[in-house]
Amino acid sequence: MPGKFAQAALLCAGAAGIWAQTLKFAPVASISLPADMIKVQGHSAYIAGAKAITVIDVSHPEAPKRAGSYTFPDKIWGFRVVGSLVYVADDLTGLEILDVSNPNAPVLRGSFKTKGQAKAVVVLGNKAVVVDHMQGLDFFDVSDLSKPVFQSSLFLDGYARDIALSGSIAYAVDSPTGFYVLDLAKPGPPDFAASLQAANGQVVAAGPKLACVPGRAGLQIFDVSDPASPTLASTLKTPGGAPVRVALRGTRAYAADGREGLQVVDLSNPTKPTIIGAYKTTDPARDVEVSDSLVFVVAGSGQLQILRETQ
Amino acid sequence: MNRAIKVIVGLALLLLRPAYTADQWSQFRGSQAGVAADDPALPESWSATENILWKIDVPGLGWSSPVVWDDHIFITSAISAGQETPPTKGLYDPGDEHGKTKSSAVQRWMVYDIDFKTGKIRWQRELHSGAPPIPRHVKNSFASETPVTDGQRVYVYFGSIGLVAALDLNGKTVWTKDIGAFDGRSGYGMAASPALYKNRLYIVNDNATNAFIAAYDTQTGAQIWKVNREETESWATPLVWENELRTEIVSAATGKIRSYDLEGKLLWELKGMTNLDTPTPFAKNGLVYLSSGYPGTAPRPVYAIRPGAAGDISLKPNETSNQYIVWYQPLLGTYNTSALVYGDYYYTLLDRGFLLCHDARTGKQIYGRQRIATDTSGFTSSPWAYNGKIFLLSEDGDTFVVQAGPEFKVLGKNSLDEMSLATPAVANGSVILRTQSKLYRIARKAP
Repeated sequence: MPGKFAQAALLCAGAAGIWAQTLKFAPVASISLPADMIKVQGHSAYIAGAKAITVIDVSHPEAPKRAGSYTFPDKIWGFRVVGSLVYVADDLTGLEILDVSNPNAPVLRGSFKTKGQAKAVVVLGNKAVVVDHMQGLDFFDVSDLSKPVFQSSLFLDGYARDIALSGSIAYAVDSPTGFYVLDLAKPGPPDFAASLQAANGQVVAAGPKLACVPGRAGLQIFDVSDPASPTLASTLKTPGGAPVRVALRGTRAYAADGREGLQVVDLSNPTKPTIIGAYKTTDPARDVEVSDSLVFVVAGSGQLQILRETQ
Repeated sequence: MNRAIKVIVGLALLLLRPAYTADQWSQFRGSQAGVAADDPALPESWSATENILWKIDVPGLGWSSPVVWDDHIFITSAISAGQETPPTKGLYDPGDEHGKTKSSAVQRWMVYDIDFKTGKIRWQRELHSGAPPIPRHVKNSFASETPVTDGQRVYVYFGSIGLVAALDLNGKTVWTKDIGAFDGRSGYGMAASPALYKNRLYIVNDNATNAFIAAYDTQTGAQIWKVNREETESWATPLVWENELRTEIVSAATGKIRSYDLEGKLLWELKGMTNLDTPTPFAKNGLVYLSSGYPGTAPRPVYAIRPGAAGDISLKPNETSNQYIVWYQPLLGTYNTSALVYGDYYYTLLDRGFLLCHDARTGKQIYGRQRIATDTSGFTSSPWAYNGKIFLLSEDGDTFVVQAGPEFKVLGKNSLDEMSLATPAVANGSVILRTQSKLYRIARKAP
């Protein structure tokens, strides 16, 4: 008898979970290419796969079309698209700046060999910040794209892993647990506005009031409404257990949750995140981007899947 | 001679005698954990052409350090018949395999005796050839264990093939012993050097299947004892610690620090190291210093421990010392370099290019993180010191000279412009420095 009660309780819990998931997604299209990470801007999706950035024309999402690509000397660990430029953290080659004004024929505009391994990059105006495995955060003046000028570095205690930007506020993470906040608009030598030892992941995504760190602990949600005193609001154990990357849009987090595909999390109450939608990709989801009602998911190591939110 | 005169003469002789012999550097970091006897002949500046008495090409690849006994310099190397993935300078994430690399090429495991005066190879011995049975990290080598000598024999250990050997100073192989080659948890290969004490050779081999510490007879190679350990990998050379109470073998590893008596009986142990453990324990001022600091984890501890410990001496939560742990720093541990105690100070060379200084007896910070230079690729070689100066060899082959004492000041930079991971030897007024492909004897040239 106790077994039956337990079974009934599980069914109820399962039903509650299903009803909580109100968002549905329908596949729109997919395209095969080497793919590790994605960024979307306008009608273009930028796919980093191994050493190459490939531009995909998604102006007609149901028929994505490959445009140009550019192959760098080393593995791409992170990148950002700013206007018609792609800033690439290219391993031991360092910072690379790619001009994609003509998406069919990207052109390298400049580069700078960082001392250590470049892992991620953000850009604010003429300032680029490169996550350097060796040095921490490297600051560059990129006024002249052809000659980025190294200005200074800021040491992180552990291995520097990733950085994300919201407005002028940057959030960096290191291994094992560092979470750092700094204001890139602040004049003078760069310094941390705040730091805490609470992060448990190697990537970070940021919005105006929240930052998310996916990792083995699950999805960590940091309340950064006061950037000078960030707090870990909650940690959500996702169905996949170890979300790989996450995109933040408003009060939603779209998590690439490995074998469990896409998970959409409502963060209206950051202390009580709730999964409100999911989509099981054919291969493990590794990165995700959101643009209007479209969700772009990198799955496995060779596929971009485009989904549309249907309700 | 009356008693007072005898005492005065005795004291004078003691003062005249060097604290330790300057003409031998018989093991990894010498007998004084990187501190050489002061000697005005020792160089403070050099380059590829300045103050180089000789340089020779060393075949193959080996990150083992040179050791010196009189006019013998011993080094080891593994010469590949194939093309090995070249090591890259710096500290970096090597990707999905985390740097693990498997070589199928035939290697020749070599020992060289080099004439101290001329740099000529006196003899060379191939101890084994074949494909390595275990992988290694792309920045490791198949000859990373530093040999040790007692002036009668040189003892070499190649963990990648499980071979221990003793050769006399004429290059004759006295004995060899196969103790097994075992893969570590991460497949990064081996590096812990053997330790010598009287007529015994002590070897630690932490691996994923059969981790152990063992003692071997130096004359015959016969195993005297062997104790299994619950470890899966480590690269720290064991220390034979002669302290005021006893002589013990201190071994640092990922799981625990352990100390054994000379018969292999566990005396004390201590938990709390990081998951990759490389720095070699050393003793100074009556204390033994232990460090572990993989940067991707925390804490990264340094412990200073007094003699006489027994049982589990691990710190309890919120403790920073106890009856045997004199001081503890939770985030001072280094990844690859071993620390240096020179005079009253404990110097920490962080792998990413910072030097810190603490009071060696209390752990109190003298100065915090000081960037050595902005253009280094990182540090793996351990620091050494003489003549009031500290020497820091970067992976670029640049040796930064820093003044010893409570104030940080870089005095100079000596470049050899080749990747360097091995810790140099200092003997007979010379620095014996090994880069990736060369061995240098560096000394002040007579004006």
